[in-house]
Amino acid sequence: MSEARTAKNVALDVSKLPTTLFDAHSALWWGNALLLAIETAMFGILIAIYFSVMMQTEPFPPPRVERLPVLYESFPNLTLPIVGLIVIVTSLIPSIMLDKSARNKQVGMIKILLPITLTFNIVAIVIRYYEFDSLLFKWEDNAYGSITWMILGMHMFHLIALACEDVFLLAWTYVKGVDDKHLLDLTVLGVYWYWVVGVWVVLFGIVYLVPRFTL
Amino acid sequence: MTKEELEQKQSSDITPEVIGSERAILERTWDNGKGFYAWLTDCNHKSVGIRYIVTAFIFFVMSGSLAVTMRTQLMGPENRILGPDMYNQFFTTHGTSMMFLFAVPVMLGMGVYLVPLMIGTREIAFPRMNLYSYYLFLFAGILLFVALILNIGPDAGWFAYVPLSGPEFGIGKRVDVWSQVVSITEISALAVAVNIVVTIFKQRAPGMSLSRMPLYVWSMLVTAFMIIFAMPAVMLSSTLLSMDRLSKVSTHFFNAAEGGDPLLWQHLFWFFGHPEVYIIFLPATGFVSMIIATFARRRTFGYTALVMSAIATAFIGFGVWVHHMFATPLPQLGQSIFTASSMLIVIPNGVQIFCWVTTLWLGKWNIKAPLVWIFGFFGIFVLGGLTGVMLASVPLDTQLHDTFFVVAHFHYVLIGGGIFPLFGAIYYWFPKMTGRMLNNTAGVVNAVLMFIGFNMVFFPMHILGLDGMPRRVYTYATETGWGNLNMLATIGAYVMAIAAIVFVVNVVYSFLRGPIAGDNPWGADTLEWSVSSPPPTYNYQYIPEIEGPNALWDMTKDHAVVTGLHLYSRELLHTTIHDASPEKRHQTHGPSIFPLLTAIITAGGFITFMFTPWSVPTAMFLSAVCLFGWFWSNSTQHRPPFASIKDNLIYDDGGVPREVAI
Repeated sequence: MSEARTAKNVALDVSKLPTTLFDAHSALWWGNALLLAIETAMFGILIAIYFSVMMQTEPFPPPRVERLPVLYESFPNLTLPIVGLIVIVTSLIPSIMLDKSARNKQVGMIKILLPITLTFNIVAIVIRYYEFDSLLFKWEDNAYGSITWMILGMHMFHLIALACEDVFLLAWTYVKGVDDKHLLDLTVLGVYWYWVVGVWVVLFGIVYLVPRFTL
Repeated sequence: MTKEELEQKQSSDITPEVIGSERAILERTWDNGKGFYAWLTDCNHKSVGIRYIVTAFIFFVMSGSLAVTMRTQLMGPENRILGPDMYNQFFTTHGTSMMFLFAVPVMLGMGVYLVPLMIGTREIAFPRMNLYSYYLFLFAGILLFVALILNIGPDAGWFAYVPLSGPEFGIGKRVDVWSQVVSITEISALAVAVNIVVTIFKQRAPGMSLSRMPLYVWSMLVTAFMIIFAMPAVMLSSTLLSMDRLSKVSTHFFNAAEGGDPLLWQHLFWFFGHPEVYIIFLPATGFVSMIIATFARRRTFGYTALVMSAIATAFIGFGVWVHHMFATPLPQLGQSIFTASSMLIVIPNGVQIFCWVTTLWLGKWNIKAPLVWIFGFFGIFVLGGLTGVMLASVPLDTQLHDTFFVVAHFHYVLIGGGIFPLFGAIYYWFPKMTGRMLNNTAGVVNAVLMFIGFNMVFFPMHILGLDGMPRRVYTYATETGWGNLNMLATIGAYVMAIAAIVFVVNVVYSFLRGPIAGDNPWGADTLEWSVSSPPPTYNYQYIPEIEGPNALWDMTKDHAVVTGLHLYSRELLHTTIHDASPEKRHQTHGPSIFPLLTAIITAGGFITFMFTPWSVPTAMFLSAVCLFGWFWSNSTQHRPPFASIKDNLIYDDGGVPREVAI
């Protein structure tokens, strides 16, 4: 039995194996991927609710009668959301560079890129805060207002979570330096970042474009 | 690194003295300390697993006594033991607690305890997250029962249909308690699911390829994936419900007057609710496969078929939810599709039953208490499955909807398909968990009493349901003529209660006085039986290489064992997903107070959301602070300092990098 190891047992010596590997070789990457699967399911359900509200609302979006001025064509404003989308998509550049420099262990680059990504992140959060007004409705006006606020809010929650992770890795990098474990963390942060961006591209289309381009 | 390079014949320098001294170091490295603080922070998967199981059984006894009280109320017509309002709270709390606080957590707790042992690793993938999930589950349970005692127990049924549960009719905080209990327990279940998947993917012993994984591990893997895709639906919908209800938020998701849809609630709930049944049932199939192989003393017949059935059940299980909604105005085509898929799911379940029966048929029986429970499972579950096929038909379902027939059906499925195998599993693995055997005779008496009591309670309900007795009524008129069958059911409930008492007495007595079990009392084949009972904190001093699907039965005398894992830090071996060949060493984490603190903040945030929306930003801020501390303390355990190195460099103990071939 395994506990009573006898002299006959062949040894499978693992002491020379590495302690950190990137991507699907690491447990952390998988843990993150599965949490993102959960969140993707969550957004999938929100999208389903959005379309279910759409099916029950005629015309869509409904005329705004809850507050003045009354609007009969209540499509969401696009200016600020487009700026926000540009910021979020552009943040891919520093985050991909951060991912790359973590893989190449370029400490200097990591220390420069972390504050840059954080800046993008904070700008995106601020824009999102003002972006709620572009919806023209409040969450309490009707089901359409509720679901659109919920979608924007849930995504904003992820932007904030991303910023928190960023702050943590920034603090660690500047206080303790960079080690193998945190290089892995940086690449996993990258995966989360790409997911937040990718999900927003889809959600942007649904919240801002679908109402304008449906019959 | 190839296998040949890894296997070096170096056994000559391993003496018993070396093994003993290495063990002493490992004991120290994996020691969690003593005292109350150590108990609060202990995140070893075995402690957390056992806490999950014990806590879940306490909730089982509590919600079981609610059921016995309800049966006492229903024993005769126009009884006045429970008033209508109390009865509503009782059945809602009973259902909520049995589903969210017993059935799912106990199955996950068994998984948390057994999976790492069965696949040959020293710890679950994320031990601290595991402890966090346990505390969340505990707080949710306390919330539910404290609310019941304070007379604010939820009263809108365990699926809390709107508009009854909405802001208009669900007055007070009762339904809010329900929705927060659900949200908290689902976070906990999701955390465990992620943990189990990663553990199975990355930490199997060398040689345990996917095709050699024990069937129980397969069933937990499939269950965990089902949780990952089903639970978000209920978490989100219960959150939306509480937002609809909170007067300072007042969203309109389920408010028909403002463009919302009450039916949306039913879709969201049952999109989770039906997979939930399989989340309870699939781990139980794992127990059945394990117990039958051991007590039929042969390999399980149809390994591949059983794995495929579990996966097929999971997929089809996501496509049947509308059969809970046949009484709503849905398009007929949709109803037909869901009838078809509900009948389709019988096929994989039937395949499983036939595989088990064949295994038994071909085996040499060793009749012990766990096997007796499995016999009970066969009888009850098959009957429950048959009434399930009946209910899948729309006209019959419309007639029987919301009658006691449905109550009978789902108790046959859940108790037969979930609880009987679970009790069998407790009798089977109790020796491993405690080091002592449960009394076998008492176990058989327990199983027989439970079987008789169960059928006395629930078989008459079929007839009552066909006769038109609606569920969820606190009493009925004498003229209905339902008194006799209800009396029979009530007597059965007391028989079941006696069976439960036999179980508790057996567990307590055997824990203190039972005969010492030894490593492998049943002659079983899975890896956990190769270590001492109870297993050491680190599970395996030398992780064995697996040579076949029945790990211990296929093990040769001079099988390879893993050496070279770090003795002075909690190190695990990571292997590749498919073939389980060694890939890297991974340092895991020990006890920490942060899981408890974060769980207090999370649960506190949900509970205060019953009263104010400001609990969300507050809890977010506080948990961010807490997680900061959590991650920081995780990180400081990783000692190697940074030096500019290339991909394939690692560190020795002294921080000196050296090159390895990957």
